[in-house]
Amino acid sequence: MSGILTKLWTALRGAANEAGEAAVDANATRILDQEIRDADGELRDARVALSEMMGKQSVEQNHLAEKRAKLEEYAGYIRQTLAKQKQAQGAGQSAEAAQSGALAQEIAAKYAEQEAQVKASENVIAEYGKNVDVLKQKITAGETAIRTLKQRADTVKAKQHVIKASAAVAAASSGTDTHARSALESLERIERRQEESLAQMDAANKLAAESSGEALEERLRKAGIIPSASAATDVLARFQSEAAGGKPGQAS
Amino acid sequence: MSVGTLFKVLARDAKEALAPAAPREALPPEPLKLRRGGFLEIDPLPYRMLQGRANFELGQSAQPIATRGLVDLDGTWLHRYYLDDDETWLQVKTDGGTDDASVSECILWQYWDCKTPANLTELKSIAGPASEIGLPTYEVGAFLYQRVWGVSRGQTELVPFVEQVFDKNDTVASFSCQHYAMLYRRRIDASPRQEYVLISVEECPRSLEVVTSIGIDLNPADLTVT
Repeated sequence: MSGILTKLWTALRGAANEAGEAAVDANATRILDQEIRDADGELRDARVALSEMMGKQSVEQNHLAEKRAKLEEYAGYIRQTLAKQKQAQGAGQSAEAAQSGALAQEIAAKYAEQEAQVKASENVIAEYGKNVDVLKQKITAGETAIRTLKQRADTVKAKQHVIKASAAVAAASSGTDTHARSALESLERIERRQEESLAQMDAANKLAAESSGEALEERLRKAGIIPSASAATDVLARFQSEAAGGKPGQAS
Repeated sequence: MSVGTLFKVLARDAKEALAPAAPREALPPEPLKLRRGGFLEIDPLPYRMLQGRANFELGQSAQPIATRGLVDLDGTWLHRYYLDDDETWLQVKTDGGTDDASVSECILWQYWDCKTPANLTELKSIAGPASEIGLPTYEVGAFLYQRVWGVSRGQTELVPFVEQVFDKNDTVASFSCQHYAMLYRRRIDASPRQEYVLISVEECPRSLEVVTSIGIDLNPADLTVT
């Protein structure tokens, strides 16, 4: 029993999964576009983080320059003080020499402090530098990935357009056949009708010509306007009598 | 309350909540963590080393900031911090912004002299065309300073600017002072720092003074702000 339930459950899960996949497939390009947009947004955030980090590095570099300037200044003071001490010692002014010595000691302590600060600042800058490099590499890799994704997405979209266009062409061409066939039939029908009409008109003309033409010829012949059917025989007879000694062209 | 009225109230509230904040003149952020009420410690050693070679003498090296002054020079800002001893003040100049990266100059000042003219005639005699203020060189104590502003061979005009003063509130200025000022400087032997003289005719709501201050370059690394 439990086996059947398990199978039913698996079947249900399979159906749900298929339905989900079908929905995902149906919106595949839309989902892909959104994913690319999301990735692009994240990349933009990363660039902002990088620029902030570079800004902090730049500020720290300014601080380092200030600290180094101060260190250099202290070095100058130590040299000046030691020179004074030496001068005092040379002049036998032991109290002044001792005073300068103590001052030199004090400045040297400050110098050491400042030196430590310079080193700390240098370490911070180096650390920023490392992170900046890593972030730059990641951003470059991300940009390449997104560019490739966009290209592939464009290809997929172009293919989809081709498929849609092909489907449209196929559908249109089958429709074209039907229409062409029916047009041809219509044409044949029209031609047939025209032929029939022409034949009818011809027949009617013939009938009309025959009936009215006979009556008119008869009337003209009777009136002597057109020669009678025996006219040719008459002419021939006239030329035959001329040959026999009569005058040609003269009707009898 | 009817449903219609409730809807109108909700719509009004939503509109107010979504509407952009009313524009107000925002003050620029302050550089180097400086602020009114902050505690300032200055490394005294560089100033001690200048003893006998400069007019400037640092008194208290650690004290709170009592008042803030701000001068807007159209893209350049002068941030002024007046310290608790009423003797010393710090000026930080920033260009193109007000963050630490925009800091272009820091000078630590001390008041040297302050004259209060009783009337316009006295003011003219102190800072007018007949005075030495604005000439190419200016002498204070044992030292001679060269004029920084202006290029004329003779006397040049004083430079005007307005300073907003914040002594009671960090964001609302208590009053403004009109300054007409001239800056001089000189190099100090065997030191990377220069010494300055700033003479300023200060016209504030309740006072008119001609103030002379002596300043020395300050390295931001000299400062610790708490």
